[in-house]
Amino acid sequence: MIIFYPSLYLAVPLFMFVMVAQASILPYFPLLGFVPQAGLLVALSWGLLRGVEEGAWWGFLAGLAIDLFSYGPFGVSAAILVLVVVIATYLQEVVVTERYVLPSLLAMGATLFYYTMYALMGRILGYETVFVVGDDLLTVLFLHGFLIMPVYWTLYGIERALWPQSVEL
Amino acid sequence: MMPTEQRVHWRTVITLLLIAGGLFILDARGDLEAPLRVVRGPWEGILAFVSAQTDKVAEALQGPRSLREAQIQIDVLEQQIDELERENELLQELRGENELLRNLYAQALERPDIERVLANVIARDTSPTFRSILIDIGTDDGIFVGMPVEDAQGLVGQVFRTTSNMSQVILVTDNTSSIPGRLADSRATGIVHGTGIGGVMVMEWIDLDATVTVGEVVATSGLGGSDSGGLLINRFPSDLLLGRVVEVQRSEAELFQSAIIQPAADINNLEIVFVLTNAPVVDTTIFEDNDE
Repeated sequence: MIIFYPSLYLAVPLFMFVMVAQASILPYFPLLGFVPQAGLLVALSWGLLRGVEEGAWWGFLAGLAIDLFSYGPFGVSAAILVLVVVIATYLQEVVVTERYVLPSLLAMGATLFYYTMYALMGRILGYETVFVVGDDLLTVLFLHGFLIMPVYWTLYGIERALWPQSVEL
Repeated sequence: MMPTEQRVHWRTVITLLLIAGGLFILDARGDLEAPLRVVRGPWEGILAFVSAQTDKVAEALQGPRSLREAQIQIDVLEQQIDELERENELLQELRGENELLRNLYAQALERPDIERVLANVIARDTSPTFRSILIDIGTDDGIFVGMPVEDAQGLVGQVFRTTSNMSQVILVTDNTSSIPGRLADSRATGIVHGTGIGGVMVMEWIDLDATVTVGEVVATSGLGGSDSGGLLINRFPSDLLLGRVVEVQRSEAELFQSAIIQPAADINNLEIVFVLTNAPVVDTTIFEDNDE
């Protein structure tokens, strides 16, 4: 049985907002020459906060939003982001939940996996995509590793406000 | 914080992956074209509005070159009346737009045989590896898949997908882009590919006997045919400016030489573009018939 989470009511409008920003705002302000992948950062952050399954849902919705404004094949971003967020979140749960360094490290790993999968899937589907390597790759890894922190802590605040957790004394 | 012992319901993950795969298959079969067109349609207005507002903010932020200059500018601006400030901003915006339109008009005058439709760029591709833009005109304005798109400087790309009021344009720098080109001086022909990253293109299959020089202009050759990815049929008229040669890659061990091309169009700062709606192309279908 598939579990449906209340947070998806937040995810749908949020990702539409994020994708409008990704398509029409962020390209005007590239950081270190790159436009950060806001959908990846948001979905990953939520996954790290709420666990594998919610992360999978958020990755799926983020991917659909990306595919809506991209000329790439529809559904591919959704599949890749589900995998990326699930693996990163699962790694966090298996290793240790830590809020200060781990999100950055996982964001870098997830970014590497995301770009590689995107290029690989593009190639498989005949789109002649390129693999990001060298300085470009290091820059985008550093950028996402840094930018996930404000995204993560903002979503942490939203999560705590919307779903406060009880503490047993 | 997630309890580490919580079981993961992998069924959800697998189901989502299967749904994504199903969507991909439906899209590949063309079954999603109509519903996606309906979903994408209403976003045109939102993207256009956000893009226009962001453009104003970006231009305002790019103005001051240093903190000192910015402070002086702020002091001057503070002495002005609010109404004059607004008027000044409006005039500056109009002047920039006017200059852009004059360049586009001059471009159009060079080829009066080609009909052009003006379009605003309202968004850019949201994926990390594809290079495309969204423009604010679609089939209602006579725009169809395959039409070439240019700006005041040169060729920008080709219409890939349309809705009634919006179109997606694959840029010449995208990997999928593949355009028959001709060097202006040596008259050698080749295929100009996008490289995706770095914003440059590569012209391949140039005859080894041709003398290619750095700075040489590259334009479309006007030959038709399908692109390497099989996504679009090339419909570029001849002599549309593609860019300039910045590096020649030549090896006597190879049968052909290649050249790195800097696009003439300002790909990263596109605001207004032309869609060429009646671009004449060389009909190569007669050869396809003969092959059969």
